[in-house]
Amino acid sequence: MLYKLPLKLRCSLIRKIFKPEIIPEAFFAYYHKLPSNVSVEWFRDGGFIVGKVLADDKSFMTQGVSADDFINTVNESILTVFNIPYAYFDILKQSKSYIPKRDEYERLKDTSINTSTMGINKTNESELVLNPI
Amino acid sequence: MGQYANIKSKRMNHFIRWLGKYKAVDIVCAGKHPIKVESHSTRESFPLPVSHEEVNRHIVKDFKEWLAKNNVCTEEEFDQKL
Repeated sequence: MLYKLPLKLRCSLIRKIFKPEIIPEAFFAYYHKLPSNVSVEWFRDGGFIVGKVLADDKSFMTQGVSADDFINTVNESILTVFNIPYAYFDILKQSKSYIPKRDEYERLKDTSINTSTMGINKTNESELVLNPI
Repeated sequence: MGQYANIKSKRMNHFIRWLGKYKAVDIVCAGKHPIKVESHSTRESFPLPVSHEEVNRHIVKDFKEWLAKNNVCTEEEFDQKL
């Protein structure tokens, strides 16, 4: 019966049943695996904000329906591309790994601006707080 | 962007299932938004955002090119199956 469910629903059910343990050393190792600087070229297309993300030697595209959703998908895509296990997603996002500067965020929210670029820096290690959920 | 259009996420999910079944790729659910498609031959991965109702045409185009570049499937197969 489980195989008949949509892929996303199946995965979230499996994750709820088998909740993995968070190891602090692994958290910092994964944190250091992530690139320090990321640049995002974004534009609006239809109801979407579409962005081309450049992180180290990797480049990929992602989308969001609002500024916050876009930042969230950019963060999740980076974690995905750099092979971070899903168990560490929430805790790394909670540490606000990649957040744009205030003016860049305002530009992202301003619907009259159709295209722009933003450079996002990784949070300093000293600012990190490890609070497993 | 002539021939490209936004694709319903449901349709894209069907296509990804087909890819996972018949082509040399791993499909990994990653986070709330993206599904990761990873090529067996090059180990390159592509995060595909499928949590919204539609996948934007620019991403569809990029994905199609990525599949062809990594020898996962041809552009003709992509057009036929999607």
